[in-house]
Amino acid sequence: MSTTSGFLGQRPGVTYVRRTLFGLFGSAPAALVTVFLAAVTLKLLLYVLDWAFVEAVWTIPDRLNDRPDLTLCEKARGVGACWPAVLLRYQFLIFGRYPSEIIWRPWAAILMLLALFAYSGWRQLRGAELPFLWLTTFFLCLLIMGGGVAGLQPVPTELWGGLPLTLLITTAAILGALPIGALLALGRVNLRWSGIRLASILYIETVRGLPLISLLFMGNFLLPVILPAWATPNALTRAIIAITLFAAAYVAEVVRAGLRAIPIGQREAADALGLPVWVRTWKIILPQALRLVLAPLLNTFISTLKDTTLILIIGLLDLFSTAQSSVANPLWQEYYVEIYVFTAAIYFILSFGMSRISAHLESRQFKSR
Amino acid sequence: MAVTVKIRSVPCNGSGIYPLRSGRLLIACVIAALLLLTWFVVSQIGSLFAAKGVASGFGFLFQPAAIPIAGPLIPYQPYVDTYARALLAGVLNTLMVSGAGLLGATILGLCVGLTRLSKHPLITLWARCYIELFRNIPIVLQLMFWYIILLHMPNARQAFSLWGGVFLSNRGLSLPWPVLGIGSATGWWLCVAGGLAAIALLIARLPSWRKSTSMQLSRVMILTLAAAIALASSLSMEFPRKGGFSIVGGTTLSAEFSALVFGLSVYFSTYVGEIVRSGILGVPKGQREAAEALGLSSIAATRFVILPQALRLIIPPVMSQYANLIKTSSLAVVIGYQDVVSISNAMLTQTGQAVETVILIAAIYLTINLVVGQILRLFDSSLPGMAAATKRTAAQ
Repeated sequence: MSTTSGFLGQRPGVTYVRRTLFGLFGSAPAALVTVFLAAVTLKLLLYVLDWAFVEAVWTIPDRLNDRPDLTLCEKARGVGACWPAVLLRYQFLIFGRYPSEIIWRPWAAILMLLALFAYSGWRQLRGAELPFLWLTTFFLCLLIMGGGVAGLQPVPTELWGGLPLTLLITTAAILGALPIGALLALGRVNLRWSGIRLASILYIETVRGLPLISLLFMGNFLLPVILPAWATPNALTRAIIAITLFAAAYVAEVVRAGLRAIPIGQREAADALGLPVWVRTWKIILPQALRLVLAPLLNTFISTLKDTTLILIIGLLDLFSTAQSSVANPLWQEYYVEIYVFTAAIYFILSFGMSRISAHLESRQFKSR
Repeated sequence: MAVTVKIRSVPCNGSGIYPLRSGRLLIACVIAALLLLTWFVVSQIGSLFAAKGVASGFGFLFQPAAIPIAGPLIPYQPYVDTYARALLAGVLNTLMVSGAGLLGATILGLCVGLTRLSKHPLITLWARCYIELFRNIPIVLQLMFWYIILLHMPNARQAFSLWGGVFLSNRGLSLPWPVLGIGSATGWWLCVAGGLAAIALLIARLPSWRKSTSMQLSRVMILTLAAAIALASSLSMEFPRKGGFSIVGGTTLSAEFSALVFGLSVYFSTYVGEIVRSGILGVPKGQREAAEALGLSSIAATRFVILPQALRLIIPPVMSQYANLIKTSSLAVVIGYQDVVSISNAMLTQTGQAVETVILIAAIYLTINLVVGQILRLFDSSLPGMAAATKRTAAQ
């Protein structure tokens, strides 16, 4: 592949450059399209950079009665961004209504969870310590955010919000959906107990056929009805339960595909060795199945991250919901573009990062076999 | 890693694989726990309803509804018509939004997929940026963004005018719409006659009609053309124009509807585009080489060799994305468009009948899902090899 001779030499990667140049300028129509598209792209890039950085307003003076003076921003509308709309409110946008004097705690929670995600992606396929790490990090973050121990001031869950809440809900959903989904998948493919198989199929198909919004409504309105008052969880826990049960059905389908891909010889060999069923499942079948479907599983988790934005329906303040209420504020109403671009950028970085990790894992998986 | 487990011999069942007593106790405990849970839930609900004085059952559906619905597809008046009618209007709204979204997502997705397959690096760069941008941002954010942009459009007097009589204002998107002309009775009769003849032709089994397939096809085409001309002569397009305070004429799609359809189309076009691309790339390269070796032109090779095989790979995942789109249209409640979830939520808060509402919503969405699944199974028979591909996708 890289041994083609040519005026650009024989190093690998050079072929890619040659092919790209040929595609760009190889024929007359291609060259015309290149010129046209390059011009359009450059113009768009320059306009965006101009709007976001060059002509943007970065600071505005305060007026006497503590309301910011927006005349600079109004003059720059359509020409430059009004970044004070984000900068003056960035604490509410990222952290919700968390008390500002102990803001180091949600910062710590965010950093710990992001480090957990990054480490899991880097650790790839041989991370036996990962379940333990996830559980401890998750509960540590819960303690840090909630307080009440080790001298930390307690903060009720109604005040949690923004990015820590999004990451916490995603982590909780992943932690809950993996075991439940794996159990459901095992129940669905088992050949022995048709009752369990029927129950699994019923649950999976029902939950997959419903939109997440209706499940959130159900969790929010049904759980207080079903459970007695002392056992009713708070709004955040109800949302986490709904999202976890929703994700579990999708995880179950993905794991089921992995289970079906394991050759039946594995099960037969385990039975020939006389291994009990739980050993066979836990130590032989499940590890291989999960390793096979790592990429689709990660895709499901990315969808879970994006689905956490729906909890604004039941009144919780996640990262998108804080942006919503900022835009609803009459003072900053005209500058919705800046606020939405900021929030969208955060989601984009998270989601794109996770999908890059997934692609990296997929390529590494086939190399290591 | 070494597994140390005590291996013992136990009496086995008929096939010799499972020991007879393994797991039975566990299963009995699980079933007992489930029964206990169900009994507990039912008794809780029953006692709560008795305490609140709320009647259970679906009788509340026939009470007058206090839910205002903007622009319903069936005649509906709040405070006069029943909850059942409100739900029906909601279902129709959902179907309309989903249908328009499906159309937009398919068309956009096809364009995106074909663009992504281009050999020009800049074109694929644009396609990749589009896909990554609109796939990684949550759809709720995208919907709110488009909705707020539409709300900030100028009012009807200074509406933006795009080509051919399309107006964009803060009331929404105004499009030209066909209206039936008066005094076109002959046109109507020609239509009806042409339609009946076409149907008769299609179901006719007379041997004299069974000439070559192309002759049958051309007869159907002639009759359809005649019917279309008759219909066109009896219809006229009404173009919107700026009236005093609003846009007069044509049809105006509300800002909520337009934002919802546009957002759904753009978001799902990324998925459909990726599926189209992987479908076309999934056809082995040898197929095209063999077609060209046989002397087929590039277009003929694409139409007769590549596309049928690619469609087999494309249609099952696209069908599941369609089901996804229909479920995601429930996000209308965020924008304020009254689809079935939004109306049932209002119903729930007004009547307090949580369990019945939940059952109704589940039933409605499961019915929609079943219908989509059946349509997918219809495709199984139309293309050979589709059944195997569908089973493969259903397993994923």
